[in-house]
Amino acid sequence: MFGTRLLHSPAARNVAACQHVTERDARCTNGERSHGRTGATDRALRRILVRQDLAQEALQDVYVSIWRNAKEYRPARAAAFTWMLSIARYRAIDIKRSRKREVLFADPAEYVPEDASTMDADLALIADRNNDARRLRDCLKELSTPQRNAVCLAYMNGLTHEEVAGTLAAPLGTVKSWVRRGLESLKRCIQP
Amino acid sequence: MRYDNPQLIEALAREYVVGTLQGRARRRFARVLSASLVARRAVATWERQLAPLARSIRPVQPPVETWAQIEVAIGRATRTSGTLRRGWAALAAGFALVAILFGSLYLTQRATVEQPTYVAVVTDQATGPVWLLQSFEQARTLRVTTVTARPAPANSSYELWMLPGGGAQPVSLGLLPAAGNATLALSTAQLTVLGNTPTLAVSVEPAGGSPTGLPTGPVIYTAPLLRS
Repeated sequence: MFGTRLLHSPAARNVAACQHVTERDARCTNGERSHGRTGATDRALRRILVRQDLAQEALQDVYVSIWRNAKEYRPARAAAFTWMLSIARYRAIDIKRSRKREVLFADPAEYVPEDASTMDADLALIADRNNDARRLRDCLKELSTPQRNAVCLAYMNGLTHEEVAGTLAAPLGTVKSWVRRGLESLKRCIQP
Repeated sequence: MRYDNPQLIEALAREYVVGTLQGRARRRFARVLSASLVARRAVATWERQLAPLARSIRPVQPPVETWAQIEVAIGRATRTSGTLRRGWAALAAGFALVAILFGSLYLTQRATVEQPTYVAVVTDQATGPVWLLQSFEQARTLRVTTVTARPAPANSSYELWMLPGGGAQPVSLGLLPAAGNATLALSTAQLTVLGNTPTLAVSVEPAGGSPTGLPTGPVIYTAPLLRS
């Protein structure tokens, strides 16, 4: 059910509507609030920051920043969702890196995809009706399992190379090459 | 390093978007982004290609208080009940003692490149200073120096809160260590609230911090926040 909601990307529509806001009127945030439409951005923050309070602070920060920068949003450069997601992810990564690991209480073991089929279940959640999403999913499936896991742990959980190496119990150099080659293959596959 | 090499830009862009570009290299590339259209395009392409992956993460709804705090931060302050505040105010005692301790402790701190904007000393009436807190606006951090803290009770953590004026709800600054030093990141929203906060408070929360985003456990200390 939530899959359908993600497809229609109400958050994206909402941000798109917000770009025309010149005075800070209540419409945009209230609209999101009444429909509970933070979905994907919030999930991405929580996955990276683990701790709910940190994710919550980051979400606030991101929304305030989006609110203030709505005029700078360029529809041609990025879909509204991608724009918002990027702001959120970079902020979360900054926060995560500026904190000592022990302060985060993160247990990387929690995020180890058990095998390729677990990751496939994750990938199955990628919206089907969107061409970009389908292509990404199909291309991710073409990576080797360690490459795919390394890329996903880095991107989805905001782990550094060192943390991915710890999580997957692999040497650092190997992990760096998994990420690099994984992304190279992904690019070749997505943009043949 | 030369940033006009398209292959280098591409390699840096993808690691920047994925998040594995770290530390100085990350900060340097973020600066390159503002000047280089090629770099911005490479980053935008990767952002777009990978975004569906973020959508595949299962949904959660943000707690209602998040929205209240967002509204406060964007300048549409919401009014909340004052009952909580009165309880907190009752605990704000011993300010004179804190001022004296603040003077002696603060002078012993080494000067840093950036001077702290705000400082506070959390003091135990029986044992003296517990934590020294210093906020740095440019670095967006709060430095915590533990003087003499008791270990937190089992399965509990110490959590630091801002008690903003005007009846607004407490806002968390993060967890305080029972020993050693820590640096807490400050968001723009937190920095904004900090500028309007006369008093900080420390509560005892379940391990990992308050599950609700507001203090749930006993408030054991309060401390005035002083402009440095």
